[in-house]
Amino acid sequence: MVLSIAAFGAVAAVAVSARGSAADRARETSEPLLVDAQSVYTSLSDADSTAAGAFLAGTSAPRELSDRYQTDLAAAAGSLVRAAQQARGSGQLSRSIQTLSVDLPIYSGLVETARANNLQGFPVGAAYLGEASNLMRIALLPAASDLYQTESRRLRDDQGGAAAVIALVLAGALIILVLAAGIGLQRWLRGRFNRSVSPPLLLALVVMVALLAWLAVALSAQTRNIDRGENQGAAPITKLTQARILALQARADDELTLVTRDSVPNYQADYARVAQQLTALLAAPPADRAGRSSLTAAAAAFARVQRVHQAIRRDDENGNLSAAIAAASGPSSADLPATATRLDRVLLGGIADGQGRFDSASKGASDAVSGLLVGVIILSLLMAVLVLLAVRPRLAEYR
Amino acid sequence: MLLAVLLAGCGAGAPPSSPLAGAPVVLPAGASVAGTTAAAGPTAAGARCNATASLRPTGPLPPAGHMPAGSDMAKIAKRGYLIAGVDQNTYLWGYRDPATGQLGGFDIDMLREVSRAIFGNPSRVRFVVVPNSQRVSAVQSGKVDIVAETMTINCERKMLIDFSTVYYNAGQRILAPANSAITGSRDLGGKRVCATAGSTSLQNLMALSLKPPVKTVAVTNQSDCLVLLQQRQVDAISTDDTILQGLAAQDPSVRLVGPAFTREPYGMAISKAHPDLVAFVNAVLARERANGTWASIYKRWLGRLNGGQAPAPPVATYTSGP
Repeated sequence: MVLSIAAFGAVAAVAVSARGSAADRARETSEPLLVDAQSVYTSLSDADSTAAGAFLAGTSAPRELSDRYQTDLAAAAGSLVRAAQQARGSGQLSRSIQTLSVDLPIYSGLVETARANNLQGFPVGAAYLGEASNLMRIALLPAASDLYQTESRRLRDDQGGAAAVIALVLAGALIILVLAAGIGLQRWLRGRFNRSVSPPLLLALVVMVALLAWLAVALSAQTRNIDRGENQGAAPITKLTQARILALQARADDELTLVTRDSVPNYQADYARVAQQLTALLAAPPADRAGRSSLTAAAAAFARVQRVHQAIRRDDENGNLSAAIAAASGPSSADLPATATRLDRVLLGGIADGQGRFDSASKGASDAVSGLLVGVIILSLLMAVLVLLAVRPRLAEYR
Repeated sequence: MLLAVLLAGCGAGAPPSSPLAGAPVVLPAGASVAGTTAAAGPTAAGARCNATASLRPTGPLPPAGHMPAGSDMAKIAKRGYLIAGVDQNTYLWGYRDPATGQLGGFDIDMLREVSRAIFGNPSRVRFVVVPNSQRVSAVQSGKVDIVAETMTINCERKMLIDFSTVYYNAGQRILAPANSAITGSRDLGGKRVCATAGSTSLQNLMALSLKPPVKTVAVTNQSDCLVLLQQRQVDAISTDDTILQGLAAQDPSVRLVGPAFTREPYGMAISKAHPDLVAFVNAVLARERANGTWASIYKRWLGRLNGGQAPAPPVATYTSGP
């Protein structure tokens, strides 16, 4: 009986601490890594679009565009370094990080060559930008996407805490064993000594039931919080990040169509595909009520971008190239840069909200089990002492 | 960049081997290594005709703004603008100046002269990007009134559409790095040579029947060839000397080599349904040849390639009548 209580205490303590550390790992390691992976992905998408926008504006490109491009590259490189430091042992992760590390300087070299040629008025600049964007699309963005997916999976694994679940099952089995042993002991005492009630033993059983109730309540609160973090935080973040990347890609498609004087309509075919995905993504009902307002606002903002897109295409196809370029790179609030930036802000705001909900849920998950570990150990010891107290006088009597 | 090459060379997951010794292969979008197989395209079958002969002008040019009633030009004048198919990536011929955002080039000016003749104003043109591969269909379908896009007059095309008289005589040549051993078409055997996909340039390279065969690399745009040459992913570019001159003007380290090995007479493409317009454009060209407009357009775009001098304009040949 004492042994089974000790075993129960140990297993429950391990289970609780495993759950706790999984939640902590999710909050302290996996989640920041996911943010880094996301930053690599979105920074690169933004760089692709910003480089094309600056190119399109040519010598009249505002200073902010080149600053933004530099910031994007720096952010991507910084996040990449942090991701690389944590990537030990993961083959998939290392491959993605290697592709990104090798191709990022090549990409920036192509963009600079494009810029230098463009400033001299050489059309070969557009060809370099096309090649840069091609590298971005066939190598860099897919690798960034892989990195992001891998980190997402890792976060889910940490939150799930598979080991902790197994420990919980074991704890449950032991609980049944302890209850059975307690009833058996009572029966043995009654049969042996014709005494049915032993106050310490009764107390021990009460403590046992209380501990079980505490465990059940705390762990279910923790699970609820983790689920809340997943549904109201991580899921909307993933969705809005995806939407943001698609929106940046759509913008780059429109810019590159004009930059490269797309004689084969590759970029417009890509725009059609991306716009369809983005529309579907924003229209799909969210898993949770939280984040719905972001989606609605983003869908409205994207509808405005689509209208600017149609105007640009109409102008370009009618041979009104200057008007098309003005609409795609102009400073007016009705032009592509401003409308696309509004959409980006809405999505970024939604991502920040999701981040806030995720953090509060993570904290809730930690708080739910705080003190549980110490409690389990102390109450288990108390039970063991009570059982010993119950048994000792009987043994002495017998002797 | 050096670091990237080193990383790629050392890393276990380095991409497959490339011409750049371990660096990842980066190709422009849509580029393909066509190998030694001939590109699909029009064949020389039925290629016998007097291709460059075009409709004789019916008389002196009507004054601008007074097009003959019912003519193709009157319809264009009523619309308010000429719709012209052009390329916007061919430096000095049809391209958008990144600094000004304006279209310019020899082809563009040819079209502006047509606009001047119809409207009295050179800028009443709506320029539409027409991919090289769609020049014939854009004219046939009526999507554009006219195409001026370094387009060779030949008999296959002439069966489908009509052409103006010749406004420029081009020929296929070779562009190679200045320090290259390539000095003519005979040196191209076994070399990687870039040309645009679906172009006659690719076919002409095959027709050289060199041994070992030319390894052609096909790209979407002319400029992509220059990118590949600058990155030494190809050994040479071969297409019309006009286009090559435009590429050479963007890079002092490359040069045109060898004599032209094909003849490429350029004409403006017009639908067979619009003979009025063909004859009218021919009259415009005749005036340009006579009054020095052709020479000044030549000097504006190509003068610095030719010591500032303009050669004599191509001589027009006419059919006996429609």
